[in-house]
Formats: sequence, C-alpha cells, structure tokens
Amino acid sequence: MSESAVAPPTARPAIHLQGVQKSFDGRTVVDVDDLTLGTNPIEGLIGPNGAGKTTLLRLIMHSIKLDRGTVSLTDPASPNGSVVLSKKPEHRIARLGVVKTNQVIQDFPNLTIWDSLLLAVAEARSEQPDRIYSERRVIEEHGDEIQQYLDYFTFENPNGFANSAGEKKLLDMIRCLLLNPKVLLLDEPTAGLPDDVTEQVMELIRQKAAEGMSVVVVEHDLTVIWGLSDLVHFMAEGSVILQGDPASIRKHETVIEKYLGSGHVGG
Amino acid sequence: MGGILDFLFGSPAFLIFGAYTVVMVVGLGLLLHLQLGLAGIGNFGVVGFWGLGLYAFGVLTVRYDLTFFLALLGATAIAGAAGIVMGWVVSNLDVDGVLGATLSFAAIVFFLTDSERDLTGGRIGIGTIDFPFDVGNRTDLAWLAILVVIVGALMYYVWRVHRAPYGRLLIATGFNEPLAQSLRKPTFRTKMILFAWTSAAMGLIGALYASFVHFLFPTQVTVGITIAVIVALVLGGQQRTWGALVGALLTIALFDIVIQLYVPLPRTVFQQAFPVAKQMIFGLLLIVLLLYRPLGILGRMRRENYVRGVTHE
Repeated sequence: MSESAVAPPTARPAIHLQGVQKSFDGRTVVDVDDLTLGTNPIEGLIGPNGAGKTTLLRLIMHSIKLDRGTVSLTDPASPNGSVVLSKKPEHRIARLGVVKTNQVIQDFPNLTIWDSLLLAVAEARSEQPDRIYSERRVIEEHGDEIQQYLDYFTFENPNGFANSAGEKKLLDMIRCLLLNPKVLLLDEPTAGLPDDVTEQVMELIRQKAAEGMSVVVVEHDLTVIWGLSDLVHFMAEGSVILQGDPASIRKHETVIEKYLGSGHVGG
Repeated sequence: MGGILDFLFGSPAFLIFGAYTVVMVVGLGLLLHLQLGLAGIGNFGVVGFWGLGLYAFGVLTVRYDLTFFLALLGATAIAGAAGIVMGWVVSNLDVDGVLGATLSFAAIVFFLTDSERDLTGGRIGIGTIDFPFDVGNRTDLAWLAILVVIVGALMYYVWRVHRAPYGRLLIATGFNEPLAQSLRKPTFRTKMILFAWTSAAMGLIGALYASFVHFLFPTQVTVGITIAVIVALVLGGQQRTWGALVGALLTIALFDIVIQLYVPLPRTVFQQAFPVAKQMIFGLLLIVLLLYRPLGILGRMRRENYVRGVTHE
C-alpha cells in the first residue's frame, strides 16, 4: 500500500502538497512529503487526535502559514493547469475554488441565516460601496438556490439567527457549497448532528461529488468515513502513512494499532 | 420675524451655530457608525481627519489662494490620503492598537496646527475664510441648509447600506474577519477602501466648517469633537442607522442648545463652568454606557426584520 500505487493521473480538481512542514513551538505538527488530495470524488482523512489533520487543511487554506513546502491546485478544466496556493491569501484561494468548513463552530454574530447565505453568494461586483441597490439582483440570481438548501435541511427559523450548534454547523457547510467550489474540504461536518441529519449531509456530499466536486472529509465518526469515501488517507504524527480503500484501511494492522484499537475491527 | 426668533430662541446666530454643530456631529457619527458599528474599526481619531480637512481647506484658500471648490477637493483628498495611510497602519492591529494609533494621529494633527506657523498661523490662527457665496444675513442659515442636505444624503446612504450586500460585507468583516476571508471576501481591501472614503468624507465636513467659522485655531481640533461624536454614537446606538442622530439630539442638542437657551443660569456659568462640566458629564456618560449598555438606546442590529422584508417581497 505505498503512496505511488494510488496516485494515478487525475481528471478531477486536486490539491498537491509537496514538502509541506509546520511546527508549533519546535514540535512538528505536519510533515508531508508528497500528497495528492482529490483524485477520487470523496476522500477521507482519518487519524488519532493530534495527527495534524485539521492543521493540514488549514495549511491548504493558508489560514496558517507554512514553514516550508508548496500547496497547489490542479484543475483539468482550467486552461492554467496548476496554480500555487501557498503564497496566496485565503480569500484568493477561496476564489480559485478551494473552500473549507470549520471544525470549531464559526458564525457571524448579527447576521441571520438568510443574511449569512446571501453574503456567501454575493459576488464582489455587488459588494462595492456605490452598489447600494444591488440586493435585489443578488436575490434574483441566487435566492432560489439558497431556498433549495433551506428546504433540504430544516431550520427552525430561516429568517432569524442560527440558534443551535447544529444549525451553525449546517450553515457553515451550506455557505461553502454556495461558493460552488472545485475542492471542498470538510472538517468534521457531522460532529454534533443527529443521525438523520448526518444521513442528509452524507447524501448531499455524495451528490456534489457526483457533480464533479472533489471532497475531502476529516471525521471522527468512522461510519461517515467508511460510508462515503472512495479513498482513505491515514494520518499519524503529522504524516500520511497509509492510503487505500476503506475496506483495506479499516483492516490494516497499523490503523488498528494506532487508532481504532482491536475492538473496532468488526465495526 | 427677527424679533420673534429672538424671543423664542435667543439669538438666531447662536441657534444656527448650535444646530450646525449638531448636524455636523450627526454626519461624523454616521461615518463612525460605518467604521465602528459595522466594520469594527474603533477610530478614536475622528477629530484628526475632520481637523485635517478643516486646516487643509484654510491653508489652501488663505495661503495658496485656491478657489473654493479646488480647496474643498484638495482638503477632502488630503484627509482621504491620511485615511489610506492610517487604514494601512491599523489594519492588522487589535482593538487597543487601533485606539492608540488613531488617538495619536489626532494628536499629530493638533500639534501640526500649532507648530507649523508659516502655514497655519499657530495660535494666532488663520483666516479670514469666506463663504463661497453671499446672501446677506441669511448666509449662515444657507450654509447650515447645505450641511443638512449633505448629512441627510449620507443618512439615506447609510440606511441603504444596511439593505445592500455592501453592508453585509462590512458586518461580516467587522464581526468575523477570518470567516469572511474563507468566503472569498477581500477583508483587508474592504477595510482600506472604507477607511479611505469615510476619512475623506470627515475631511469634507471639516472643510465646510472652515467657511462657517471663518477663523481657524488649534483649539478647534482638540479631542472634544472626537468625544462628542463617540458619546453621541454610543448613546444612540453604534450599530444602528439612527444611532448618531438620536445620540446627538440627546447630547449636543441638549447641552449646546436647549439648556443654554432655556435654563436660566448666569452668563459667566455658561462661559466658564458649563463647558468643563459638559465634558465631564460626557466622559462619565461614556463610561456608564460602555459598562451597562454598550449598544446604546437603540440596541443591537435588527437584521431579522430587514431580511424578512427582502426575501418575501
């Protein structure tokens, strides 16, 4: 199960990490030599706490700085080919089509659910200081799309604020989906959600991946990982040490030893 | 007519001056509302940008003989350029840093007006700066009317911004900048542009004041203006369109017009103790407000009401 065995030429938007390193206070948190995320529709990223999964995603988004290495985006549909992300600010990376949901719940105080989603879809040209009448256009162009998400998931009051942690978690994901990204990084998207909503989220992710979005999921709920992923990356001590399909990863002795424990084999 | 006005309001000139101050504070308060209430930039140097516009206009007309409109343009541009520099300086500072930097900027402007005597006349002052037109003894009133129109337009603009994607962008930038960035919003650029044009507008309001007062002295650009604007906005409601207006009516209008006209105190009290007492009361009011009602009389934004109106049209 070496890395070269599962890195075929990609026909999907993918993220390449080369020589990426990050330390905090002298402790190496991420040390990835060569990694491609997104060759498959949905890829899972698992590993014990402190393995560096969230840090890896944040390095891709450049919300924290790399110590060294490069992160690039390859999009077969784009004439530019490969774009280096690791020198760009986060909003440029999002514009290039790479977005990430947040592990820790993030929300805008003062913005209602509708507000928050309209913010996500509004293009820069509608947000200029002199465009004080452009709200109608944003709603005409994107209102239906927002309404579809609000119909798919149940929000207590879409005109009000997201009250529960679950609503904020869903809102975070819908905001990302509304950006229609090429690569979607999901950091624990179903944490804290009830089972039926988790099922809805999984179905939506499958649908988006089928439409061509490359999805990378970090999740501790392994039923989500086994149920969704086409490929699973196993990360420990800052590096991806194993890659493979879900069936082989969940049986691999290193994964059992370092992460699952022997009781989970039958899982 | 003049006799009736005198009977009701004391001197009309006094009333016009008081009203001009109120409207000016409302205008500056609206601009600070965009910076502080929406975009979260705690600018304590309002008087710096206003004063820069005021003095730039004075210097350009008196020392360089520029016409009114050229001087107005120049003063606005200079204040805007200062806004760009200060916006860049404060863009990555925390709240305390922004407070310190903007206060220092206002102090620099004050000391420049005092020290650059060749240009500003120092403590002797600079003048005379005339109105660009003359309609006899109603010119003051006409100037007030022009300011009312400008501030009224600004208030309409701010009201619209709350209902436009731009307002939402400012709120997102002010309340969770990293999250806004992750949604492809250029927050640094947004803050820079906002700070530049609102600073320029503060400069414009300052430049207009130069014609109104005719003579400029360094004592006009002290922290009093900043305090007046902040107290008015925080009392009214820093997150609300009407906050600056409500606050200015309850502070400046009350102290500079109502009490002085209708409370029978000896003239010496109004000339000596009253201005000092007013500043003390404003300071105390600010402390009490920030402790017990930081969002002021009008309270938090009511976006739930507004969005419902938009999505169900």
